Amino acid sequence: MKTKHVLILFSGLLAALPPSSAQEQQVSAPTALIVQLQSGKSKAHRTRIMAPPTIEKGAFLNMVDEQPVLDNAKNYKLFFIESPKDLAEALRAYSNDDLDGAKRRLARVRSTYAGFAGLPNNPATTAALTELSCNARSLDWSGLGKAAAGFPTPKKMLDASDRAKVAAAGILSKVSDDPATAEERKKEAEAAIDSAAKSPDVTSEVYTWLKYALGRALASKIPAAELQQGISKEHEQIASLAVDAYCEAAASAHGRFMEIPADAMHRAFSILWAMPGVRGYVPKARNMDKKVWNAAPYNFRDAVSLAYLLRNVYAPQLKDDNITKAASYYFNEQLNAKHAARK
Amino acid sequence: MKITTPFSMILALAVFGTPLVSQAQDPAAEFKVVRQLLAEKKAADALKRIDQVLAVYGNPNSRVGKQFAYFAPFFLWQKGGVLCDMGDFDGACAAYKELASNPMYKERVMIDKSKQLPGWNDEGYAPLLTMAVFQEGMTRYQQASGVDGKGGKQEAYEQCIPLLEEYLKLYRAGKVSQREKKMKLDGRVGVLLLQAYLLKPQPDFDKASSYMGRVGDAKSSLPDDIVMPALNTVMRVASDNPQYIQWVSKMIDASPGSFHVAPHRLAPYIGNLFNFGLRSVRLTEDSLKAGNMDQALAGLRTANAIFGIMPDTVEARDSLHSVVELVGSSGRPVEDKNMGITYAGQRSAGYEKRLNELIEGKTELEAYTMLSLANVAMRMGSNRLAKAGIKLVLERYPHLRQQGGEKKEMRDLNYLQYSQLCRATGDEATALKYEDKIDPGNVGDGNKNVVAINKMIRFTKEKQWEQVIPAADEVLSGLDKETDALNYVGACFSKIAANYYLARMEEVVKEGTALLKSGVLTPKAGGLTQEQVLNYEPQTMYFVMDAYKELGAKDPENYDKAMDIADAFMQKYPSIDLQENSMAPNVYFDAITVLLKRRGHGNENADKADLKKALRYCDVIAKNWKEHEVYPTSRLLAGSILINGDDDSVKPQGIDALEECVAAALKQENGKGKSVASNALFWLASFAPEYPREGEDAAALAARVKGYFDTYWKNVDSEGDAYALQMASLQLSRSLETKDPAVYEAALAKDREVIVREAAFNFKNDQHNPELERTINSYVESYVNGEKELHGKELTLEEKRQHLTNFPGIDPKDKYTNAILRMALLNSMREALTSAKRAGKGSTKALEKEIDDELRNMRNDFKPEDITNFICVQIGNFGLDKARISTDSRQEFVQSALAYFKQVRDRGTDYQNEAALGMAQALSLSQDAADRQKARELYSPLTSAQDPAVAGPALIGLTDLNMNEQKYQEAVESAGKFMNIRGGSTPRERLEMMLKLAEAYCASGKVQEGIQTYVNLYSQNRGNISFSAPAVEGIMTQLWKRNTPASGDRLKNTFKQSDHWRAWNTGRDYVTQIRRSGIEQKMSPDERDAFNRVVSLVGEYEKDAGVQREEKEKNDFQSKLSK
Repeated sequence: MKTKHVLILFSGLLAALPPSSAQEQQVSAPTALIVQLQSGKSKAHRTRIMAPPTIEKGAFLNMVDEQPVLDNAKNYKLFFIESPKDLAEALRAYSNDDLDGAKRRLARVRSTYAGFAGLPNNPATTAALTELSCNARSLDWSGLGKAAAGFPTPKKMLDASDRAKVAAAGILSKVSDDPATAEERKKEAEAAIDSAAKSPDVTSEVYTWLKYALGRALASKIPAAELQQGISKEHEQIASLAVDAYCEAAASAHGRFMEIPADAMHRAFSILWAMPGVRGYVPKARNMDKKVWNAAPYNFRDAVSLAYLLRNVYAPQLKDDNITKAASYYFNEQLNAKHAARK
Repeated sequence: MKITTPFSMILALAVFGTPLVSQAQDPAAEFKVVRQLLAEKKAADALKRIDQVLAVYGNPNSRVGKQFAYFAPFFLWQKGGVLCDMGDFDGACAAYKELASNPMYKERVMIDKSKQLPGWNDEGYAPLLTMAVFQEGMTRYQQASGVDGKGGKQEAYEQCIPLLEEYLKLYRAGKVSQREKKMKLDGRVGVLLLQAYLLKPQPDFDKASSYMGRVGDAKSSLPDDIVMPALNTVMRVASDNPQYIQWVSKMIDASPGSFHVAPHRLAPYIGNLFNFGLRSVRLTEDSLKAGNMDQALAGLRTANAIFGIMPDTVEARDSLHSVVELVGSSGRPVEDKNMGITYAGQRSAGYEKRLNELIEGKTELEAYTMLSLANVAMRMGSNRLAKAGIKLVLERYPHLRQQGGEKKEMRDLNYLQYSQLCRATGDEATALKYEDKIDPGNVGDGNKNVVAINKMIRFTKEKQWEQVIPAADEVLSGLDKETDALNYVGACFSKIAANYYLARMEEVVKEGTALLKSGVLTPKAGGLTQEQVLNYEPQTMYFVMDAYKELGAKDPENYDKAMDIADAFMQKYPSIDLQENSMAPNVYFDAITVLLKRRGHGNENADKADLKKALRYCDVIAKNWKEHEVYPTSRLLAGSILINGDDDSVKPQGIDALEECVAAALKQENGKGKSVASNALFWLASFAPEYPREGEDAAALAARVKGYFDTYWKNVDSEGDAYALQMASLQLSRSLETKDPAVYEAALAKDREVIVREAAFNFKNDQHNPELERTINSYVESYVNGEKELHGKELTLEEKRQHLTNFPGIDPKDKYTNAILRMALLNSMREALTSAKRAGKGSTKALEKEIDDELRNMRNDFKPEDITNFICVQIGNFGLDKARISTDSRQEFVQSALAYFKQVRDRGTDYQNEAALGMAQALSLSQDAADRQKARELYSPLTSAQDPAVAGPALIGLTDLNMNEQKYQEAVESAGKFMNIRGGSTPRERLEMMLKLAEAYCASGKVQEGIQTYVNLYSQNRGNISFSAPAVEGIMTQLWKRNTPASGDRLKNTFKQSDHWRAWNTGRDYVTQIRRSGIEQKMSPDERDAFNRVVSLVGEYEKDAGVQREEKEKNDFQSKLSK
């Protein structure tokens, strides 16, 4: 990936200086360098590096590959690449939850500026990191896998947090229901969680990914038929572990980017609803009051509460008849106690 | 709150680009001066200069004014800004108003002129005319909100609203400049209006809400310094007016792009967001308590949205750090235009430092958000989500400290909560693991007790009763029963329960009574509720009652106390409704068992009354609680009371009760009632045949009884069932009565099957079931009888041996069962011996030897610990017999016998007296005086036993010992005591003891008593040579020895014969009588020996001269008389 780039130094806002003494500028070690990147229609990139007069005069600089640019960047007290318009638009689409639009734009920005990936604050890395989140939020595992595999930035150029994110994306992209790979995926997720727990650089978002991947790995050990028809005693424990991993994925997000958390809670609910003792209890769950509620199996109570929270807080858009049914059994003791006191 | 608007920047840019026209009359130069003064913070001078310029150029009538009036709008605009900065908001507004409303400035010519200015060549000052409307509104807004300590006049919001709305109208109508259109200002104005409506003295929430949605209409993301303060305003309003809490999440949802921004941009607002998030959580909790679910949900949605835009603390810190690295921590901010972001290094460094303090202090904000969301989840019922939140904090923030106060580490508190949630979600193992990690000193006083209570509950659940008591004491220590009544009662109750299950019944009574009398078990405000009292009092009463019942064995008065509590319970809790009185059936049931146990300690009438009462209680249970678990057993008890009673007329009712018992017991879930059903079916099978129902013929009755067996085998029987062996045995013996060989064969096969199965079961579980022995013995008996009665076949010993040694299915290693079978065979051999002896045909020597051999073999094959007590006693007695007759190996036999007897004694179960007796007998044979002393000690309690079958043999043994040790006085006592008991001994034994008593009397010097005893024995058993002969011999030798001479006068009828003569004469009379009776020919060799000893003594005494003389004198006197 050795794209040739041309860097042009500009001085002033309204008029560009004619191309001249680039080498001269380098020798005098300018203190600041502000860079604008523009992508033209052609594949070649025209790069303008601009130093306003208030900071430092600039000059043209021709470069053939990244490394000299980076070395050059190090010579400045300030080296700043302005975000190109296409990146700004892509990020705006992303933060406005237009995930499909963002995915397209981010992918384009990532490849367009891939050649700058070694520079600080470069648009390719920013786009690629955001693209990971974007694919993850769309639950697009194959897209995520591709984005992770094609990550443009060399690892050593990434900080610990971003490195962890790329690695976690690799793990998350393997999510599936295949029991054959369940154990392997479980071990991989557990190992990643182990080291993530010790690292303050891992963000809650990434932690959510890992817990979710663990939940999926555990859940794929439960035969699919059991998830439909009721989980056997034999798989109760693994199912319970899966529920916990899903809930931890959801809790780790603390409200941020709710797509994976909502899916995790939905899956947790479905498992709880199929747990031994729950299915059989449902027909008996009539006239819900404190006594009936407290006597209900704990998995039933948790399934119902989770359904209620999904419906009313975390994912009202979800369409699942089981959630609707389960939520109808919801009972809240605190609420009821107050009502009773009012009578 | 300083709001920078893009307008001032536009202006600043324009001024920089303005070319100088002339120094003297150059408004552009003047403008530069003004800017310079402002830069030097000389606002008053700048204002003065502006006013001077406006006085000249703002006057269209002057010459200069005409030429340069198009400059005035720039100065007016600047004046508004300066006045605003100086805090003269009204003045500023006047300037903007002048700009916006003076018709002169709207003149096309004027505007066109301004277009000549560089940088303004597209629209001239035209944008300022509409911007002034906005800026006036903005100034009013600043006047209201306050800037740098100036302003703060809330009413000004009212004034700002129409201005901003007017501007928005202009904007929407497209009546603004191109420059403004490019800036996409509608969103920002909407946000300001939203706030103004919220913040004015009388907030208009409806109006504000209408702008909420429009925030999202904005064509672009809103700048941070507009949107974040707006969010702040909404949060503040929502804090004061919880009904509007959902606005916050609505606002974020309306324009997610404005809020989901890079962490370094949110860093300045993290504190506010966090606090508001916590406030939303609190609102949720309060709303739940207030019963307002809608508001609780809105609160949770809001907390989730707010926490959702908060970056992690480390993430924000790193993001700020990158900014600092990128643009440096000093110098000018760098603008990233396309992103609309300004990177300010210095400011970022400041925030970075503050966040670092949070991180280093272990107070990362997102950890608290997770904890608080976990807390809400828990209150909303989702223990799994709550547990997950705490788990994450433990995993990722193990050293998190409290936010305020002493900033203590929260780990132990989190352990506590996590363990509780694990327990609530069924993960007891993890709960315990984390509970063990808790240091109670670190969880605060309130929670310290929670830890103690958890520990107590945990031990209670695990049934670790020994640990429950100290745990409950820990809960009780320092706890005030008035202020913390529920925990007090809970801990007291746990202790009572623990003591109950540890069978420390005295403690149960003590503590239970104390709790019942403490006064805490009364519903009252601040104390227990009625429901809680109902949870504890009835159970406590039950425990105390049951404890008294158990203590009744020690002191029967405790039964009365148990009944007192039962009466008190029945009076206080009369309801039969289990919903409100769930303990009632248990109390009634316990009362029944107390009444049954209390019998036999009072008078007969009281006993009868107790039985009647017990039956009545059985009926109460039957009437009201047929579904309750005590019902089947209560029917069983009712059945047994009726069947065991004196009144035959009610016995069929007893059978009915047992049938009800079976029906109900078999209905119980998970086979819980099987053991009761098993018991009842055994009773039914045993007794039903005695009580045919009215009109029931023999066939119907037999069918019914067969039904009991069938039900048992089909529904109840299982490996190890307590009645399996007895049922099999009973069925077999009953089968003989049917006289039907097929029925007998089937029953025989079933009995064998059950014997083999139970033997295997016991062997597998390494346990000994004494019932097995009884069943096998009964099986052998039934088999022998069955073959005889139904097949007409008298089994030979060989056939029996074949049958018993060929019992398939018994594990050869199962010594216990094999010993029983061998013993059964041995018993058959003994029976054969007995009948052979009785028949008196042929020699029995071979059989006797065989029995001896078999016993010896058994002694070799089975160690005492392998075999039943019964067999131990048998083998022990065999050894004892051998010891008695052996002289060479006596000691060896004694030791071997002792080992078997000792095993029985050690087990302490059945055959205790037999074993003690055997031991005493064996020890009596010892050469060692110490052993014999031990024998005495063993005999002692046995000789006083109520049961003559125990006391009799013991007294015989003791008497023998006394005789052997020549303790004749003691022998007299023990033999005398023996003679006074009735039963428990054979006639032969009694006669032997009489002999010994007589002997002991004589030896101890009480010759007269001795002789009298001999006389009694002899006179009553004259024909029984074994005893009459020795008795006569005793009389003869004693008289001879006493040798009292003859005395008195024959004529006066006072003559007494001499002892010698009497000795001779007794013997002679006896010999004559026996010879005359013809018994002599039938004597056994032993008898003949005894008789001959008398004959020879008679011969010996006859030769005595004194005897001969006295006999002659007697004869002479008699012949004189007859003459």
